[in-house]
Amino acid sequence: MSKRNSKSQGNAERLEQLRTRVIIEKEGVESISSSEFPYHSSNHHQDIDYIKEFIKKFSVKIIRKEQYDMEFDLIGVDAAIANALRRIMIAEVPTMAIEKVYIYNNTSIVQDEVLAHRLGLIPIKADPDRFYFKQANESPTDMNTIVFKIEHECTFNPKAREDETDPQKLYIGHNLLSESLTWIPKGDQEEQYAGCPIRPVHNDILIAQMRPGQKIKIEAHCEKGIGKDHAKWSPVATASYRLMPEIILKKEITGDLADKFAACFTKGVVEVEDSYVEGQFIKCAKVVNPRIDMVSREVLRHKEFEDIVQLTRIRDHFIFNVESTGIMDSEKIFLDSVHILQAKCKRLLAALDHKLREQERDREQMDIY
Amino acid sequence: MPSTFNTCEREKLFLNPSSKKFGIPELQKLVKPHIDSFNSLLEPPTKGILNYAVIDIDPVEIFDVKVPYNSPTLGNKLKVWIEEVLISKPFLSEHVRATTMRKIYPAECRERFTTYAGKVNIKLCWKINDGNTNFETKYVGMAPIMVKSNRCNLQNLFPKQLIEHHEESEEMGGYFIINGIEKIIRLLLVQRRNYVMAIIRPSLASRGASYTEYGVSIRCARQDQTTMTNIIHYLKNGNCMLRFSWKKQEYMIPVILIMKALIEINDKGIFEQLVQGEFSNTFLTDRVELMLQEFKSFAIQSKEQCVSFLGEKFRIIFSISPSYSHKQAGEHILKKVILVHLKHNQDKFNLLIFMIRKLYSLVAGDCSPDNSDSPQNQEILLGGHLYGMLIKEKLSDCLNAIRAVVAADIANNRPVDFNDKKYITNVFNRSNMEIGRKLAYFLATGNLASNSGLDLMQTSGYTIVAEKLNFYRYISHFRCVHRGSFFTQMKTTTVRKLLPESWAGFICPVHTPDGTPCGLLNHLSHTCRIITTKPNVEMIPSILAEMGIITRLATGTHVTKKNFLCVQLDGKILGWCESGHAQSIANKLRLLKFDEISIDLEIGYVPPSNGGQYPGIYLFSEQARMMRPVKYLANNEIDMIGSFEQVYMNIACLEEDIIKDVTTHIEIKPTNMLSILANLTPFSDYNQSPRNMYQCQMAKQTMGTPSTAIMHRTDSKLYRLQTGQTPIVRPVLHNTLGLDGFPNGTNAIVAVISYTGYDMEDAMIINKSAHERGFKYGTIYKSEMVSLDEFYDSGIKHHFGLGADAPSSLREKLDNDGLPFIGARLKTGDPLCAYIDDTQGGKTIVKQYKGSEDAYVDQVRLLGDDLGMHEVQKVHIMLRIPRPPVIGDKFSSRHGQKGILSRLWPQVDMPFTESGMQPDIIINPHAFPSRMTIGMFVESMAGKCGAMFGVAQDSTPFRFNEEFTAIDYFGEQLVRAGYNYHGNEPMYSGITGEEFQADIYVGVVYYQRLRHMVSDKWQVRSTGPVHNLTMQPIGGRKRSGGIRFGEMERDSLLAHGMSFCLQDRLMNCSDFSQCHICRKCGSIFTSLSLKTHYQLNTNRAYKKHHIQCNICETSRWISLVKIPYAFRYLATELASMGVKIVLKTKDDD
Repeated sequence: MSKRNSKSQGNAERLEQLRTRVIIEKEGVESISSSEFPYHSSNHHQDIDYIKEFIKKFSVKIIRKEQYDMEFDLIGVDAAIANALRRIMIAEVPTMAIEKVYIYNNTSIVQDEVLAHRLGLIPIKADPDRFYFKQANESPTDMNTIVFKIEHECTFNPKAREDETDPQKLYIGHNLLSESLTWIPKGDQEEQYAGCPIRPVHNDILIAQMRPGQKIKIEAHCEKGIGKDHAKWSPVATASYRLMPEIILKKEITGDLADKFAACFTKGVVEVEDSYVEGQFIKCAKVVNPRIDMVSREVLRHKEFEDIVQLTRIRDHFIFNVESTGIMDSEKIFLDSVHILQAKCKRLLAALDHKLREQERDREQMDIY
Repeated sequence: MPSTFNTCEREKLFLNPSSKKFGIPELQKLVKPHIDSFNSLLEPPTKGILNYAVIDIDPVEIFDVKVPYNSPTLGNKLKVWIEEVLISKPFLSEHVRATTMRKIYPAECRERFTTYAGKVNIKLCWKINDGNTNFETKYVGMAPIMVKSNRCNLQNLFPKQLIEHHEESEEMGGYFIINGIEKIIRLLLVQRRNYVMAIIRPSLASRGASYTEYGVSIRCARQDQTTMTNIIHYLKNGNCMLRFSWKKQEYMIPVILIMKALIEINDKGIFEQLVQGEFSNTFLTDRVELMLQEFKSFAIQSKEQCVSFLGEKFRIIFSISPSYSHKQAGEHILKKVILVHLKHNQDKFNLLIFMIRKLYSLVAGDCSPDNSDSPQNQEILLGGHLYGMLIKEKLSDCLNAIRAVVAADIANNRPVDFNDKKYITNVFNRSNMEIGRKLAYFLATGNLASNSGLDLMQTSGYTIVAEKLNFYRYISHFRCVHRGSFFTQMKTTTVRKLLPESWAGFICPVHTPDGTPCGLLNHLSHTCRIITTKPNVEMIPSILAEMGIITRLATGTHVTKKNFLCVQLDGKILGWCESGHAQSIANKLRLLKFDEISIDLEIGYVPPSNGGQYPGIYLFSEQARMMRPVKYLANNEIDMIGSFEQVYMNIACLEEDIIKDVTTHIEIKPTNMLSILANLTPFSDYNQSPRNMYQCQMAKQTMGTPSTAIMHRTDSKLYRLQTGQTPIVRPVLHNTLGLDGFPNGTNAIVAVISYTGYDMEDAMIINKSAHERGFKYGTIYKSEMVSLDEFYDSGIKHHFGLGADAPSSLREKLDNDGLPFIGARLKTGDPLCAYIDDTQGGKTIVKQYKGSEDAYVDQVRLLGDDLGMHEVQKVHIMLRIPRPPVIGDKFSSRHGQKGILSRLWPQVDMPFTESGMQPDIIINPHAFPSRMTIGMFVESMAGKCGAMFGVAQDSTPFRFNEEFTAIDYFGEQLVRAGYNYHGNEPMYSGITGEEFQADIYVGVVYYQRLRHMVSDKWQVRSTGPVHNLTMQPIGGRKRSGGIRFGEMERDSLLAHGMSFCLQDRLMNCSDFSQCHICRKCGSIFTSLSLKTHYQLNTNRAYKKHHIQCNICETSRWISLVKIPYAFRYLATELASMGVKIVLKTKDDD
């Protein structure tokens, strides 16, 4: 921790900053870990109800919500909780993906195993909640498997000009796209999913390029799985968070320096305004939207801003960004992750209870002897 | 802004290959030396080297009676000679009736494992006595043809047609196809031709009692590119002896004898010519005098006497026809071995004078020896020329074979009648004139089977396989030059040293392997050219005469003027000039190079110096020289400079290096000195130099894209990266050579962080999800050949197919034809194919797949016989083995930073950046301080902003300097993209979720997957096969052997005091054995089992005493001991030599 900071700030203020902020220095990041938990030496008070405190502090603010992309703030939780949610979103929210590919014919240049791998990575629009996990010894049923098939052949376009070179016009079906995956409903799947037929999320994913005479005939089975097992089951393109940046100006930055200052941050973080000081208008830098800053620390590279600016981040303010692959709505992915975390906690509590009871029993038995 | 990756242009080239021009013409230039040298064998305008060779082959004279030497009656004379060689393009044999397409294309040879060869016909002429000349066109075999040469059916074809013929779209050729394998004749560095080299070498003194280590040597090249080296030795008494070798034998002749045999000259004349007015130089005059005096002992004076003397002494070893007189023989010998690059005796004489003067100057210390390891005194032996030399020798062997047939007839008293045309034809047919097979043997093995040695220093290692491991390795094969296998054995390292004159543009200073071939196996710089056609230089003598050179030195006592410099053109003395004028003559000549004379002329002006190289103006115009382009400042045009002249030139590297009135040339680009591969290392100027060498090595071991015509390849092993990408960071040369067609790696997000501990000691962590999405996924193609035609002669007895007796389980993998289904998955022991064996009563015989990994059948090729008549007997099966990266596989960046995959780390546990990005690869920061590969950091930054802005970043070395630094250039771009100037980023731990205390260096680095994979290397053994002589475990992975627990390992166990472990490893798990020993005599051999000799009462006693020592004749001292079996073996070996081993024993308790 640099001496400069401690000199310029009051001790209480400094302590408060250490308690709630991650401090970004020129070389390195300070005070990264939270002390906001019970029985931590500095803040434990018998009479504080932590649950109440938590409820008071905790909030979720949705900043931007699109179907497949959302940004929200998770405020007042520990990094462990935020990280757990992130991890679950990436690796433990189940989806459906192609797991088994039966290749009847493949004369394309894409090798069988590579073709199967490519198919596996295609996101499939199907509600995973309505399917069961297929166990290893189970045979496929309409409750755990979705069947797709591809029957594709590339041919010459009879209408093409003699000297045509553009493959788009010369051949028919030379690009095998994901739209060729046709869903074969099994059991009562047809009625069940009448409203939302199962299909690949995107119709224009290139699977293979072909030339006349080449054929692909396959049957593909989708199964339910989680991203932990294979990346194809991950419902998100990415789910991650960052800490809320905070830019503290200790002095007014004016004149040309203001422009330079503004350029040190992501566009829109700092705006240069004309302010009326001592009878004239001068340019003045103002932090308007620290949220979008990428914390590149560019500002700390310049000597002139050394003592003027301090960069910190709010330690319990997580800006989440959940970008879905299109299988599920981003919102649902997050909610699912919360449910999964809940279930995990319940499991853990139950296990703890079990363990406690066991110990108690042991102790009782000891007493008897 | 158009894409800087040229994606659309490349796709256009790919979708619509041109039928008129190459998409990447630069690629064709790389193999030009190979193709052009082959073309020059048969190509006008030089008439074709082979035809010069044919003229040079001596006619053979055969006599029909057995004649004693020097007999007056010789009988009838049959003179046979070759007048012309014709090599045709590869065509089908005329016996093939199946098709009208007669041309054979290389792809067919590769796929059928045959040799790509064309017919060789010679025009064989003969004459009986002095009668009419008859001739016959004789077929002498199939000569392997270089692909894309003027004898190849692919010549002048362009991408579109090449693809139609199953080739690479930008196929370059330059190799031969022998039994389906692509072979290249290696470029070899040899002594520069037609230049007199002064040498001081201890081995010269070993030639005889009075020989010294001084000598001058000249490697004379004939018009047909064959060479003959003449060496003049300096003897202790000042005399000079000329040495030459003939059929690998060395011969010495006094130089005076040769001089006198060459022209009619008296001693005074020789003296004046040698002294050239330097009468005050008593060192010189004394020796010349002595040399002349010593020659008096031969008591021959005139030219005729000398020539006859030579002829008499040497006619036997040169096997000169008895019809020649001694004089004719002598002249013939002078023509054959003395300074063969010169036609006229006067020229030869002049050059001998020059050589002797240089030799004396060397001995006196007035000039320095020439360094034979410097490229200044080297040229390149081109594949085509070597091939031509070999053909020449084999053709002259053909003539000798005819002579041998006749001689055998005479010796066996069979009728020999030259006038009978039938007999002549019969002789021709009986003599072994097949040269095609010999040529193929040479190319297949690289062994030179030659009785003359071709004036070369090695007999093997001339050819290499053009491995298509990846494209980089493939092109490097064509650009590599070897110093000669002779030098690999040498203990001194002087030959391997990097000399300043060599790396200045001709030979790459970076691209050489480390280890045994280091410095001997070099690579040409990417701009280096090799001259393959001799330009017209006939006008040079008259030009020089105009400039005022003296063509004939005045002789006689009145000449006192010294300091004349000799002017030579290709080893022929054109005249002399005053040393003051020499520089201006050289300058004028250089200007004339651009229009009147050819640009390929090399003007080596060696200025007079104090004890430096022997001065003179040496002009070189012949083939095989290395030349490279630089800009001539005088007229701002591109000048070609050679390795000889460069040493005395002033070439600026950059504009600011130009010194007025000194600098004459400037480099076109500073990177011109680098080879192709060295050039491709991004920002190599930022790296510690050995790292760039390592990268050159590793680029050649990378699993990349070997070929774009994999369907038509039959290599025994091919490595392929499925997800190859174009590097974001690449030099200009990458585009020039179209290397995007053959991607060699992938752009990976690389974080430099010490994260899990799994990245210690050069290990690296790969993101598991990236791996699951196909990161670095590779495939290996292996080929299996099944051939049934072992008993072909007695008719076909085997047929591919499944017989009635085949179990139905076979039909899961095999079809009715006995061949596997395409796409079938084979496990160890699965049937690969099956055939019906008639010799076993139609039994179905299954050939199993023996590999340990699962493989898919990729292709099945039916290979017919050459005539296309018989049932298929050969099948080629290509198997495909998927190789996703696994722990233990090797990866490397392009900066010599290799590492082993140590863990596939779950995505959620990987650290993530502000934007949620997670690295594909994590490497440890400790990989950098000691290795100093700053280039990798720069690449990382460049890659990052290149990815952000979608531009290809130029990484050509030497682009930046102290004022314009790379860090600023890329740092500014990063800032513009919203990143940290230095390339760092805040990152959060994927495990705790907290931000790291330090920002992490993250960027995009192009990573290569190397071919070394654990799947090919793992070795494990518990118990297994043992060696049956020592009973110790055998070695070798294939035989499931063990890994040697050697002396050093033993030492470490001893040092740790781990005696039990030691006992266990070296005894119990190795060759543990038990044997009986007689404690009295100490022998392990004398104890014998004597069951029947004793009448024993109890079973117990029998057990105890049934073994007795044969010498001590008692069983009292017998006990059972544990000894290593190898010890028993040692004792046996010693016993067989009469050495007895006595073991002393002690009671255990």
